[in-house]
Amino acid sequence: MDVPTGFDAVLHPPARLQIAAVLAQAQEAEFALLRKVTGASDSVMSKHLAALVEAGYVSLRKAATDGRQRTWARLTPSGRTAFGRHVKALEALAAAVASEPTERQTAVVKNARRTA
Amino acid sequence: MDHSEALSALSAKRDAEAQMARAATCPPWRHAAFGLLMGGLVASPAFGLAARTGILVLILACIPVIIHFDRKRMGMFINGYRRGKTRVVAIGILIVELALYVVSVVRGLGMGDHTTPLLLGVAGMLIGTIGSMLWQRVFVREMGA
Repeated sequence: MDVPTGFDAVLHPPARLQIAAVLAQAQEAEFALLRKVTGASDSVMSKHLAALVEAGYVSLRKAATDGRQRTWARLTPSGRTAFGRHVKALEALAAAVASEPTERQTAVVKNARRTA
Repeated sequence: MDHSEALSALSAKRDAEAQMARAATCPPWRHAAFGLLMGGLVASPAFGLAARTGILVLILACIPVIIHFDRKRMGMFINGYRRGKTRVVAIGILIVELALYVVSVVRGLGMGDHTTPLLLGVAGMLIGTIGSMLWQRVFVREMGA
């Protein structure tokens, strides 16, 4: 299967896709919420966020709340665009394969043509 | 990248959205707080200049406080005018509240009628509260939670 147009390798890991999905809906989300949604550990979450920041898809800011330093993430405009394209690519792939005939269906059609 | 990977990725995305929608559920007081702000704005022409200014300043001061509590409680901030079906609800609330406010200004400031703005304020409060609840219901449904 070819890589569909719009497919983004940076957003491909499920946790990154989930981070982008949350940030596409919320203007800004806290590190702890993203960790809870993805089920990732602190260190894994940090790595995913770092990869998204490096790609220019997410921006981070630190802010003190109740005396504790918290990290807030936000999707950048290019991150939003990439996420939209990636989701469309996934949907297209899911739809295309779903509508493709199975090997058995193809064989039956070929057989029917041969005997006609 | 194959079909099952695409389906699994889309399922993970939907899961995240549903979890986020559940985390974004507001308690009743939050809906009532929004209703109170809307009602206060609509009712403000019932009062004299000093009280009216005080109400408007209080409303403006409450907005960042509510946003702060939303962020603290949910760990995120969702813009009411975000893209999606909720935008129709948000714009609907805005139009109705603005219409009530205009009538309130005309009656209260233009005609010296202090009762109508108060009644419109109560209506504005109810519409704001119910509108906020409706917004949340539409959001949760859109996120598949």
